[in-house]
Amino acid sequence: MRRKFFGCRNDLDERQLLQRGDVFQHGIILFFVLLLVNAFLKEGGITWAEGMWENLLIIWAVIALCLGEYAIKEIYPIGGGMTVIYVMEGLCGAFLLVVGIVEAAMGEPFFTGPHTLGRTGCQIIEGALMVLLLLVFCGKKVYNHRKESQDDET
Amino acid sequence: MGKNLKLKAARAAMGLTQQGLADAVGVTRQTIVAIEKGDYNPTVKLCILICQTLGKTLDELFWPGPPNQKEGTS
Repeated sequence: MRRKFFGCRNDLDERQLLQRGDVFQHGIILFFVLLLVNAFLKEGGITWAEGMWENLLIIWAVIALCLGEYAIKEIYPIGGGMTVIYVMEGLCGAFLLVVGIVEAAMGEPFFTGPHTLGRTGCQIIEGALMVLLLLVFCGKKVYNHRKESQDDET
Repeated sequence: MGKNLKLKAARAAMGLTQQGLADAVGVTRQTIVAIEKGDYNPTVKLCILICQTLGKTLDELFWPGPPNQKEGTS
């Protein structure tokens, strides 16, 4: 089935489809583990992040794992198109990171309690995760570019 | 699973790069790399497409040993 996504074909080849299944499996396992840990912490009276940030960070950790594995295992559509997504996501992350650092510099606390991350701390962590994904994607592209000629020769 | 040197040789004999073969059969270059390195076991459908593109038979490219071993007469 060929569908359009951001103006590009998003069909994957058979190896990529197989690996995408593995990535989803890893994402679901991490999601359940994090939810379980979060539930135990709550039961013990520990709130590790302020308000909705607990849930947002859990979701982002899972997304980061999946997108990171996508980049490393090169599960991109044959027609391209993932570059836009990674760059946009990286830029949003850089914005969040800069805003977080500026707020921290202006006196916003990183931690609001003994075990609780504040809004600024969560924002910095989320931004750093997003920027890290862009770096992984770029690193893999550079690595591929260097390997491409070697693979053809060996 | 060992390296598929027969596929690599057939591709080189046709003057095709990995990207060229990948484009011809509709997969990514990394998939061809993985097949040649023996890291990925392709489906019969993809094997047939590769054979058709390279003008070879399945035996010539994907059968592991000499062709007379395929009938189990060791």
